[in-house]
Amino acid sequence: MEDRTLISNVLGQLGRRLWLGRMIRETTVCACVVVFCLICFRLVEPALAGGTPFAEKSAWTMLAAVFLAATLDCARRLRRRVSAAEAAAAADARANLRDELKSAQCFLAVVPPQSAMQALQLSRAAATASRLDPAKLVPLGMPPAARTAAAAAAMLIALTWMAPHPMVADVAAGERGVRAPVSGLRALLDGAPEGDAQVAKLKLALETLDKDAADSREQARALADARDAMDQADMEAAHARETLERLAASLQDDPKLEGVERALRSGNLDDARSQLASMTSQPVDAKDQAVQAGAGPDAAAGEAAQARDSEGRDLGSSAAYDQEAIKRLAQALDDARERIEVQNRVNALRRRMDSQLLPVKQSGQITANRFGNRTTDVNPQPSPETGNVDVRGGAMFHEAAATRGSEQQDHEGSTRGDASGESEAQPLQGDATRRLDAQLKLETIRNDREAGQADAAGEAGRPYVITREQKSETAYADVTAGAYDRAAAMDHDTVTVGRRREVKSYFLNLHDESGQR
Amino acid sequence: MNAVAADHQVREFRERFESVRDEVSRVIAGNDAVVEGVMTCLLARGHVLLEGIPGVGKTRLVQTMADVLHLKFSRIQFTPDLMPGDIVGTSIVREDESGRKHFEFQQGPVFANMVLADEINRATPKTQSALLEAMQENSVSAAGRTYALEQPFFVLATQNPIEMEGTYPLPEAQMDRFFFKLKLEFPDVEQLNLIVERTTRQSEPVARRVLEREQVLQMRETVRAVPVARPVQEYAIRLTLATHPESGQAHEMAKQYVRFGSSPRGTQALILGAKVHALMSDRVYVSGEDIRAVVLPALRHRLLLNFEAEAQRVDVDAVLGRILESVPGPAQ
Repeated sequence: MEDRTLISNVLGQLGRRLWLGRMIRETTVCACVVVFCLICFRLVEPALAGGTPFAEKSAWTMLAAVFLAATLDCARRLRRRVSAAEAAAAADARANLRDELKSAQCFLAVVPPQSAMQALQLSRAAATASRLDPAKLVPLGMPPAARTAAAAAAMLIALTWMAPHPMVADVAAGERGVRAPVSGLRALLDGAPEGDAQVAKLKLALETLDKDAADSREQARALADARDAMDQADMEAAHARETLERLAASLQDDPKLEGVERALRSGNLDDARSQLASMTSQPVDAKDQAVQAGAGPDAAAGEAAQARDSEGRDLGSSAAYDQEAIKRLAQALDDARERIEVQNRVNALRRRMDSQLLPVKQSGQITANRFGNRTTDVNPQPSPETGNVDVRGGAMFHEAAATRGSEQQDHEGSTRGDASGESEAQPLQGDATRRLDAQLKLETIRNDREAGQADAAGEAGRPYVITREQKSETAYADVTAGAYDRAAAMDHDTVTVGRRREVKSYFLNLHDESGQR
Repeated sequence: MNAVAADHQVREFRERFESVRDEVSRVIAGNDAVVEGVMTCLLARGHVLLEGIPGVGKTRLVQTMADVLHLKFSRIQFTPDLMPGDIVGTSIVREDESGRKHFEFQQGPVFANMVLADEINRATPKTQSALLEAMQENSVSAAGRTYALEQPFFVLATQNPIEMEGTYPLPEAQMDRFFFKLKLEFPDVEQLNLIVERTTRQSEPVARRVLEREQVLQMRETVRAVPVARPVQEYAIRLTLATHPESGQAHEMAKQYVRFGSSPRGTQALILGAKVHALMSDRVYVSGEDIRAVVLPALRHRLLLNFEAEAQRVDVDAVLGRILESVPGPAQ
């Protein structure tokens, strides 16, 4: 075979193998990029699932864009073929030929050879090329670095998918054990008032959980919705109880409604309701009789009181009240009873769900100190006196200490409130009430602002930086943003499961009395 | 000439080169690279500047080379009072048989095949420049006439780098005319033993004459016939441009320490020196390795360092070493 043809053939073979090797390498790199993006997406997916749909869509779009970009880049690199010069250079470098093939490849273009030396060089290069083994020179296969990267990616995938993320755990529970008793859970709501919004939400959430077609994200969202509805039902019930308490307080000074007031204080709504029912029936007759006899309402009320005196109930002046007011009172009692009834059913449902779901959720890394954005360093000497309030599980203490004190609390002289709950409460706002964790962060920010002012005033002449407890890293805008509540609802790590109810009930019992002072 | 003849020519070239090297090595202990460098300059039609402290064998090396090569040899000891006429020759009045007087040009020592310009930096610039035309044009102009020098014409200049008082450093133009600048290092213990053994006995080794003038000329032709691929040639050009601080391809170190980079003669020296190196490596083409092998002797005297380099005691060889490391080879 002529020297030129031989050299060209060998360089062509080398070029094809180099291109194949490049294709393998580029594809591996592309796959690694995609896997890395998938892992990243997997890690941030729980946070995105609770966020706005736009954020979730953006993440998916970004993932698709990265995949597309990696593929296009790979295709662009592979589109260019390996030239003969590149093949010759690669062969020279790999076989340590000292530019022999590269020089020969250059001399190939000169036909015929300009000198005998060129011809000699070509014949020598052809002999060298015939001795080359393209398979050995350019082995096809994954490069060692790519193999290492692939192994690392596989390990990362395994670790990422095996680690039970709270969100994943919920979904897994939904797939394993929750779906079966969901129908039983729905039965608990059968007797609940039909028009109640929270009951409707709960039913819808349970229906979603019961669906076979629901994917993991929908189920997780349904669980979060269910918990929201339960929390809301709790708050509405608390509001109803507060209303009853206030009602009892207003009836306290009226001896004629003492029975109703006692029944309200003891929580016996049925008794109170029956007393009011009797007041709506009896006094109407007495009043009518008094009107017919030309007597005043006081006389009618006196007669009614005497008529009931034998039963030991002081309802003598009930006729003095407007029947409409009595009806409104009765209606309020009915509403409150309905709220409490809903709460009872919801609590039963919650207990059942907790028994099935909470053990699964506790597999996540949930720590109390994450709640207040504190570090995980253990404070050796925590003390409210020194300002060292960073204690593990000390979120309650910390937040309570930041709450305003009450004049009636046991710890006289303290103006900082008390963790035991003897603090002023925030007004209950029904549906407008924020989620507990959002509310807690708001509290933290408020105190942070106060502490910042104190620091600014006090730092001037001090050779040291005073303790900045109660500082929050959460920006105020983040808390007030509409997306926050939803995102926080999906963040199960905010409060430990064991402490969640205590935290919740603590803030439900907060009262704002600032307006009364 | 076909490929077989070229192959024979290359083999012959190597044998002759090795015979010269071996013969010189019988007298000169060590400094094999310097011997090869001197031979490279001779075969590439260049001139060599040998630099070394006194006593390392500069003059001895040249004398041995002259003994080994059957060439006309002359030695000029450069001194401050040496005049240009003492080098190129002068016209003297001659009287013929008929009594008529006429001027006759008396050729100077430059009319030889090998000229040893010993301690060239001790002569005045005027005298030094007398060598310029001879080195570059291979001819001498005197008394209105130009005399061609017999080929091969090969100037070997020596200079002492430490005794600078009373010397006249070679101007840049003249430095550039030297193909290589070779440094003779102080011999190590083994070489010193060899030197002592060879020079302190009753009879010293004598070099035999192994190469005729025609063979030298033939070897010169062989060197010129070696082809250079374009990527290798561009590599040499990139190396040259990297020494120019104002060039777009300048190396960072060149920008910082070099005042003037190498001239185009530097690139020529790289290619020609690489050709000799390639032939000595039994190759009939020039590789990047050949270029790298001759970068230091070919470029070190063509770079002019700035004051900052002198202040920081930065050596030209260090600059060139960094450039060699950074400039990608022809295969990259």
